[in-house]
Amino acid sequence: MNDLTVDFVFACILYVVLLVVIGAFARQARRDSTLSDMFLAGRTLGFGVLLLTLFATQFSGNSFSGFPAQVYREGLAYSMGVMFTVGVATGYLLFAPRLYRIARQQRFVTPTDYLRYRFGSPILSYVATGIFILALTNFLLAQLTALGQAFFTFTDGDIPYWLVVVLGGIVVLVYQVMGGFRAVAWTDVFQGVLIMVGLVLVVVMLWAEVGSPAAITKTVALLRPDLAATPDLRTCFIWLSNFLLLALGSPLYPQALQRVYAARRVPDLKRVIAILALIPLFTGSAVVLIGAAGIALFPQQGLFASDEVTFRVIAHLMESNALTYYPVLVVMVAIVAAIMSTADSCLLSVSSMLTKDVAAQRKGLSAEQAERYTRLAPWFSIIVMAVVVGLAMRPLTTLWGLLVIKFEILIQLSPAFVLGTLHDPDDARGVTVREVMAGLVTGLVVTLAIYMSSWESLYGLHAGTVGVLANYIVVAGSRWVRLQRNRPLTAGLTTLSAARRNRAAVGGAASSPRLVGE
Amino acid sequence: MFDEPRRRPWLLIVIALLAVGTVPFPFIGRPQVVLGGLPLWLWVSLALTVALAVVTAVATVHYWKDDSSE
Repeated sequence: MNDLTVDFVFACILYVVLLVVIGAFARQARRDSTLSDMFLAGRTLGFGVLLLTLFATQFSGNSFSGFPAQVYREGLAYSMGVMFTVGVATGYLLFAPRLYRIARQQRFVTPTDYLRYRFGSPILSYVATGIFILALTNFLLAQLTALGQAFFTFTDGDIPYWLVVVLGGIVVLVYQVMGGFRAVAWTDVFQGVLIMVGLVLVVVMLWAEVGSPAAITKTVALLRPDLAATPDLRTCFIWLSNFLLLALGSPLYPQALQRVYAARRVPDLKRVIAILALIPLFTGSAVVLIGAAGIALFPQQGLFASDEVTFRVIAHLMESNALTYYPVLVVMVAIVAAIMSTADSCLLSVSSMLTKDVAAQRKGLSAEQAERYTRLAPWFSIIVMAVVVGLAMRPLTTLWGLLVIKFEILIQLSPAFVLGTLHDPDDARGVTVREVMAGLVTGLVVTLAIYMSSWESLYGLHAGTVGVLANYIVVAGSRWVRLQRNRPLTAGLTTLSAARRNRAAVGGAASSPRLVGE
Repeated sequence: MFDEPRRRPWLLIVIALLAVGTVPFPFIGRPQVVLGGLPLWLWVSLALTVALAVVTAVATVHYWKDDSSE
């Protein structure tokens, strides 16, 4: 083992000890033994913790290694990464304000709680839970894979991949089971700061050692003109498709939705989402710069796996200047933090859904009974982590591939949230469970058909993007047909709703339960 | 009182136009123009991305009104 390996391992041990200590403090801070306390920290997250936990959760191992790898493989056209990470915050605007309001009134714990409240269909709830769990397990697997690869590369293979995957899984499990959501959110604060410091250090070091962004781009154009060229039509469609995938899919991550539920107040939540729209201008640019620097430093591709480009770039920085030793060490730990902060959130979310949406539902518990049904949650976390660690022993595909497969399926739930939150459950103008199910089935069939065909995409549009467009058309189209058939009835209900609003506005009546979300 | 950004069709149109505008469709097949070391299409795309971020941030703060937890 060389000095860097020893120092890196020592820094990681310190980091892990700190995570476990935070987990212990979070355990002390528990208020009661309820699902709301275990999975949402009692809905008490203020501005600072909320911002950093959402940032750390969304800035995953893929952001640090998958996006730069994409720039390294495909060229400057993948500066689109900046744009579509901004799209994540834009996506929240489509449903988060109303969902937050309903979630507080109905005391939701999981994303499926909303679907159960809005559509009242056990089939839709189980299908949605299955999709959420599939997406999250996939995401957790990607994080553990990234963790193993990061250590393997940083230590030149001195620490085996399998050992890191197993130990990483155990560490995440320990502090998550100890402190629940509070532990995950508090460790995210530390990890979020570390990620931001790491990115700032990378940008400063790249600027000093490789050159300014303009100089790096010039070098790319000189060495690999094909990677600096204007994107072609197909790449432009990929760009647009990625924006739709991220904008519609990313806010639907269960761990992201649960952070929306966990916000203490609206002003905190909306300020956080506003800042999350602006942060990618720096973080996205930083990861694009890492990929571009990779092209400038290693123009001949194929010498190493493209997913390793981030690690190769920071290794180069360290070799080129002794002063960068400790900053690079911080960046290395920041990469580990980015991976672990996403992994713990995924694990907690899967555990919450298995507890509330599967076990409690199968036992037929009432809402109050389910709220106190916490004893299975740690066991679900242990089982899920064991399965995912087992799967991570045989990595399936590149990190980017894992990310895309997950989004393709997850975004098919978008109409249920975006269109579903437009109306209350008993409002005849709202989409019905049949329409949502018809759209969901159409979206999944189209997505899987394209994905498994020889096309894989339609001229750059991902299978999931085509699927979700078909999904929205089916939901909105079947709703339109129904409203046309029931026109007189709908007009009457609209008039009734308007009359109720008018009465409430003049103070003549208490607000109706039918208009709780208005 | 409750209000949300998506209730304004003009805002959704602006966001959609900015999102599509960031994609360098108009530059396809044209000779590369470089300004300050970066291709022109990248400048335009980044500028519109900044605009998209600012519009999203302002819309979130300005048009999301909910007195249920304030």
